[in-house]
Amino acid sequence: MITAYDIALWLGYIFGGAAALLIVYTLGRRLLARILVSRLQRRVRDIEAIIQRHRSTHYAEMDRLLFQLGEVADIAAVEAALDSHLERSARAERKALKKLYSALGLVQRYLGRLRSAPRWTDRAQAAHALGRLGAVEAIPALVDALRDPHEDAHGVKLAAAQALTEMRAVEAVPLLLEQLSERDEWASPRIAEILVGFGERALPHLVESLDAEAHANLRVWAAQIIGRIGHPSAVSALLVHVRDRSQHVRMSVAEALGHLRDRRAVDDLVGVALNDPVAAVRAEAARALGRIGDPAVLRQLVELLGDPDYWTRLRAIEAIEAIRPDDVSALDAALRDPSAEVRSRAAVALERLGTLRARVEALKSDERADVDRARRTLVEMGRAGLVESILSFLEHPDFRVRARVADALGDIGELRAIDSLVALLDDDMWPVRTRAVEAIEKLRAPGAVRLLLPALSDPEETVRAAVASAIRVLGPQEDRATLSRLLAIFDTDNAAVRCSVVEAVGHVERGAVERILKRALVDPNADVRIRAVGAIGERRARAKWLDALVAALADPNTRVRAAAAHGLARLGSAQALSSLLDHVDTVDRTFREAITDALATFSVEVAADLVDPSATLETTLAAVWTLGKTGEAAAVEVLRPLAGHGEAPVRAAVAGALAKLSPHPDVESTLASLLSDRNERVRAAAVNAIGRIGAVAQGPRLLERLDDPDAFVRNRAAISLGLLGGDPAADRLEAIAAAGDDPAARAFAVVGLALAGRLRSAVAALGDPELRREVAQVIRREPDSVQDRFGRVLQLDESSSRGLGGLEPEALGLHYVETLKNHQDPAQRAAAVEAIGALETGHYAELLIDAIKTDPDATVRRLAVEALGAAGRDDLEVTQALADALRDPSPEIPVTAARALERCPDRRHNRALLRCFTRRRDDLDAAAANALAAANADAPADFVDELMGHRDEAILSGGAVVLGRIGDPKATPLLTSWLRSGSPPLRAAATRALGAMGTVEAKARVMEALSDPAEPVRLSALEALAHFPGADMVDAAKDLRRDPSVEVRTALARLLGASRQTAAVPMMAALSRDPAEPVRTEAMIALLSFGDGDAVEQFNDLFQEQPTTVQAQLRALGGDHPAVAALAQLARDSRRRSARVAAIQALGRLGWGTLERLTDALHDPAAAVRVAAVEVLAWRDDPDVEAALDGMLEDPHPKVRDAVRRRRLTVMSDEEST
Amino acid sequence: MASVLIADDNRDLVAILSGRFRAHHFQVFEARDGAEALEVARAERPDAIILDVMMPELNGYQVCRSLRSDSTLADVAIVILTAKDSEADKFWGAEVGADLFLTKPVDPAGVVSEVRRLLGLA
Repeated sequence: MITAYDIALWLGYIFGGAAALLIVYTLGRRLLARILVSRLQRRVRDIEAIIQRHRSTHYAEMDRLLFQLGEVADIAAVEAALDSHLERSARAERKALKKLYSALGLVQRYLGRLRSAPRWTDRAQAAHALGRLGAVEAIPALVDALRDPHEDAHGVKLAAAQALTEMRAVEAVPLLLEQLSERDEWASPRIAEILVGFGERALPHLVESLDAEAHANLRVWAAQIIGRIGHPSAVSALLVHVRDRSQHVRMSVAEALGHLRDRRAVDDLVGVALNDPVAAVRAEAARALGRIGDPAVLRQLVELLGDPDYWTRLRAIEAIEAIRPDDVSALDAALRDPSAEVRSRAAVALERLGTLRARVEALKSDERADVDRARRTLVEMGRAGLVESILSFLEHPDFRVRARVADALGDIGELRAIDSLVALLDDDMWPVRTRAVEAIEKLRAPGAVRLLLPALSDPEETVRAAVASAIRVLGPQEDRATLSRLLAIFDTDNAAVRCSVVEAVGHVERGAVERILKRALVDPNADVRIRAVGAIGERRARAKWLDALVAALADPNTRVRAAAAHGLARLGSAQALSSLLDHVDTVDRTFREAITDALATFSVEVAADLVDPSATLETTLAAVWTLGKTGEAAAVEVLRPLAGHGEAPVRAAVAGALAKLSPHPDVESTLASLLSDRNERVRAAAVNAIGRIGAVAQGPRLLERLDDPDAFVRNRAAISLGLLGGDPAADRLEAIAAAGDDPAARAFAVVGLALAGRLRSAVAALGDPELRREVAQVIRREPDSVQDRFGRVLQLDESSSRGLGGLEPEALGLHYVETLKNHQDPAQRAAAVEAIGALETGHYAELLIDAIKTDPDATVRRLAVEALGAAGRDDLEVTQALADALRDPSPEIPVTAARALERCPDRRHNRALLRCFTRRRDDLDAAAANALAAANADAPADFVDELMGHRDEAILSGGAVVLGRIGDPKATPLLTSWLRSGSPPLRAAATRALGAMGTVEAKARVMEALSDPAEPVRLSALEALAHFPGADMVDAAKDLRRDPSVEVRTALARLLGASRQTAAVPMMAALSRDPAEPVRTEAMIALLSFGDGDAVEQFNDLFQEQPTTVQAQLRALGGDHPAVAALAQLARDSRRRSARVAAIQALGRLGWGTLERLTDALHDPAAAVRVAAVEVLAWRDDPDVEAALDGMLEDPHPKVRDAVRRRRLTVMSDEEST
Repeated sequence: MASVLIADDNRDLVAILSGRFRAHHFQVFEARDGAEALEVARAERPDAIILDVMMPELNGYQVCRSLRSDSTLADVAIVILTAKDSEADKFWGAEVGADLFLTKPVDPAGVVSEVRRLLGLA
């Protein structure tokens, strides 16, 4: 029996045996491998020895070597030996090794391994070996390895990249370049790096690649690699591509030119690349110019600081810094750039150029202007990020510098400065300490008051006063220690310190503070009392201060009384109200404002109760003002009846109060009613109020006020109309500003114009010195809101807009020049160009030309072209700029430029204008033709000669149009020669031009053109024939009745209608039966337009024959159509009775037999005409017609009366049947 | 007629300077402390103001600063008179916007001629 023990024993034997076998197998395998490796190593050593022997003879016996290696018959050993050798080999030896590898098939083996070996280490090793060997045939495979999307192992890719780098065989260059045609973010930069390694030897291929039109990617890389190689021989090739159609190529070319640092590139970089429409190209061009470092381009780089693209501006700053200019004002200006990055970069540039130190040293100056300028720059540089650098100057040995740097740090606003400023509180010089206190106050750092407290003990009063002021500004203080220090300094004879103490602690509910407040209420200084009253008004427990506030209402100082009124308003109690009402009729303006402000916080009813017939005028006025200030809709209801108050000041006040309560449905109507008040002050107040609330619907009524008998009202209307805006108002104001006897009225109109946004007209008016003075006075008296808007429209700075000067044309001009040059917003630059256009443009031609050439915004360029053209100057500089603008990429600008050239005719630009015709745009063709006609009208023969030098069909066709416009018969031979051209458009244009000649010969040629095989030419001939009216014209065109083209037959009908030749009537009638409906319709219209009774009779006869579609088209002719107008005239004025009858019937057929048109006919002396009119009108269901026809029952002629009765019977039978 | 405000708590000096200015056909206003000086300056808008530094209520620097921050008085000619002659005082006088800094004791005729020069009357 087999026991469990036996089973376990057997299992032990089995597993033990298996383990022993496994150990034996493993050991055997290892032993075998060691033997094999040992054998391999021995063989490898043998092979290496063989190779070594041949190496010493420089592989002179290559065949023998191959034989010896073949005898080894172990390719693995050979490969290992050769690879080991290859690793150690010098470059010179590798050519022989390459031959050896190829002969042994190892190159192919490695290629195969590179493409398909399963282990990445094998693939990488193969790539490495191929690179060492310089195997050019491996390039495609290596490149494939570089960009293999399935290749996860970067080791293979890197090995391939290194192999390509190592190859250095110039044959590899084209193959590598070929690989750059495709986009590959991983491989392309590495291939480029490899190509850079080839250096100068790669240049011919790279230059050639720049012209590879189909491969923009390749051209981009080629340019970049050329730049990296940096050889000057490539400059000219790169310059060709500054105008490349690919923006990426242009960008790379600009970058490459920067690397080359060759001054030959400057002109193209400045002239072309800096004006590139693509911002990135402009930026790269700027950087390149910086690298080249030519100081001559500084001006262009400075102009680039106005580029709309911040990156371009950034590059411009770098370039300017690289040039190291003496004048850094442009970089100063860049500190105010809208982009933080640009500001920061400008600051860094200024620091590197030593400007920061120079500005700091300037702070020592005694000249205020120098100090202000230096301080301003310092603040701007600090705000742009140079705080740390600026802080270092707080240790400057000159106390003036320390004080002014501290002052600047306050404005910079960086909290990082706080510690340095606190340290400055111990400075030896008290002005430095004072500035440090003020700076800490401006920084508003948390805990600033605590930091400043020690300075309250400063020995210098100015410092202590500054600390007190800072503590006041920094807000109310409740900290016990701070409070006690502040209360302690109240006992000073310096009022400013006492004011600060009251402001800083006045709100604190403590006995000590209350004692200080009580003293402050009776302080000899009014400012201290004001602050005390103000502080009481803000206290939580203010009710117990009622008596103090009421007493303050009787203070001798107005501002104290006003402060008390505000305090009582905050109290809001019945006693407070009662004490305020006691002062409601005050005549003190400031106090009155405060009282009404205070009353307005109570309720509408409080003010309404004051409105009483027995109240004084002052009380009523106070009530009205209070109601306006409540802002409550209910106040409108109280105010409306007061619009009829007997006192004009009350009604005027109502207008002002209502303006504050808008929007409300009744406000506008009440103000409108006040516009026609009997009192001029009331009307003026209503006008102002309407302007203020922007009640556009009242515009027409305000316009009427421009004719008000009172000048004040008229002037206020000008301002309010300006505020409302709109074309009718602006047109009217423009007329007043342009001509008028009253300078004040003109000045108000100019201000109104500016407010309405008519910048150009306003600026033009400001050219008149007398008017300018008046405008300055007017604007100075206007409220801030009006002054601000005036300034905004004129783009003035604050001081100018407030009428303090700057309205002179020179100042305005400088201002707009500055805007145009530097403003980032295209809309602002466009407005500046418009304004410059309104000024004496002669001074600014250069600037406008510059804008045309360089401004990136199309609207700005277009407006500059317009402004330059409007000046009408014909000097070459101007006309050349306009001619250059003909090539502008924006579609509108060439048209504008051509129109401008029409005003500045200059034959020197014929070629540029003729080129416009090649763009085949109707609007540009017309403008160019007009400009050319204007320029060449005096010398058409020269123009003809010039045209003879052209071959382009579009140019010749355009030239023909120009010759037609000039109309000089000398052009006939040239035009006639073009009739034999193979180009139908040219023949057509020549035919039209011949028509304009009007000569006998031209007529003959036009008639010949009627039989031209091309439809456009025949159409042109018909058009031209209109210039030769006469029977022979009709005769010449008769064959075209059967022309295969519907358009030609239609045009013929039109021509016949306009010909006024009797012979044309039968032809028109014939065309009215044409198979094509458009021809029939046009022929029928032609019969009507002919203006002859016979033709109209033909029309009437043929009308019924026409298909319903044609009839419908004829009935659709508008009442103002020339044919309908001609009929109406015929019905009214023809001497022939039959013609009048026919015209009336035709009008009836077309549906235009209206009473208005036929009233005369109803009274025509001829009964037949009256009958015709009655019959036409009979179909009109209109009470007026019925009344008119009833009157005709009295007509003396029975036929007329019968016609009326027939109509009645018809109507009755219609009604019965209905 | 040009006008001048003389602000000093030293009545004798005010009287002497006033006499001198009147002799040169100036309209003269007087103030005895800084607060009054500000009040008179705002009310009368003189062409020139002579300020003592050490005055009750508001010192001359404070008055000068307030005047310069008032746009309607920004162009008035300001002369600061003081017994202090330190570099710091002169610097601060310029900082707060004074046109001229004169150290006491002053020659009244010299003050008048300096004011006349500042006003373009010399």
